[in-house]
Amino acid sequence: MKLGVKRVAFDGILTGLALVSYILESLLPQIFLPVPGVKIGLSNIFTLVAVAATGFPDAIIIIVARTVLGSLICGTMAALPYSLTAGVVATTLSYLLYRVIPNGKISIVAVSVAGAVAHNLTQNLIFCLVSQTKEAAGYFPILAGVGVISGIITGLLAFLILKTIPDSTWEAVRGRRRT
Amino acid sequence: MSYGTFKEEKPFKKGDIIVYAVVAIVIVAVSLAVYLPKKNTEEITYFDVFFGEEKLFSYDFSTKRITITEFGKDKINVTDGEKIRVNIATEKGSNELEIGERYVKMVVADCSSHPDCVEKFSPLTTGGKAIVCLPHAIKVVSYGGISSEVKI
Repeated sequence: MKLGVKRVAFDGILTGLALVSYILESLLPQIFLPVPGVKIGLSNIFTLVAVAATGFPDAIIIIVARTVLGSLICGTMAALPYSLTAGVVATTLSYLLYRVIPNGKISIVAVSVAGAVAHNLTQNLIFCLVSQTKEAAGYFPILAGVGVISGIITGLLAFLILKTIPDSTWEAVRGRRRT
Repeated sequence: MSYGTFKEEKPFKKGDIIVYAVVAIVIVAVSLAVYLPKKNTEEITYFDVFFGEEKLFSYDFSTKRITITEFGKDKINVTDGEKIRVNIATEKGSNELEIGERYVKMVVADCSSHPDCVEKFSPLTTGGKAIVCLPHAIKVVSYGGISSEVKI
């Protein structure tokens, strides 16, 4: 598959925005729920935008680049195995729901909620396996509840971005129209 | 598969009901699978600390006694006080636990400037919970209801 220059540049911008929001969010103190893995996940807004506006390869490139670079910059490489797996699973599920299964029948907000819950479930499962700590599964109900709330927030923000940017811009990025 | 206009995009569509229903079923099913078999969630009575697969020590809240294993004796340094501090030094790094009145928490880990085990795990106050430091392979597992002597 060949990606055009505009599309590569657009993916770079989305990756940069995702990375910056990931780093900024990691600097916030965890004051509300001291549970590992609990966060809004603002960087997922940009993966969702890629899922909806460009395509699956773009979304996977963004999630992999953001997770690896974010872990390197924030010094959380130990978390990479479960963060990366969860990110890829959530992005794949989001793409299947939004683009493949019932094309256009599901909103980006519902896709975001399903992706966030799938992300937290996968992350919790991989964490239990890697650390060989079955007790960590006890955090899943909290993580799932937070996933629903954060999925709604990130889904609504992705929805606003998709609505605000003109369709001609998305077409230009996808390389279907000369600009 | 077409990429249509986003001008007609809505925050809620009919198909969402199925997605939300499936998400709710998954959450309830997994939560029941996690909680139903677990009856050991009363107030913490003791906890074990592991380095990898090997146990380093146990602490019993009723007797306020630390039992250090043969494997853990050269890795553990205990500082007594109002709150007990236990330093764990292994070849992977250093961690420090604080033991207070019916709780244990990780207070120091030298793996990064923002260690998850210190900042993201809440203190253990009930049984059936854990604090994990992945970079240092340190695991604290809490138990409730039964005393450590019964188990050992």
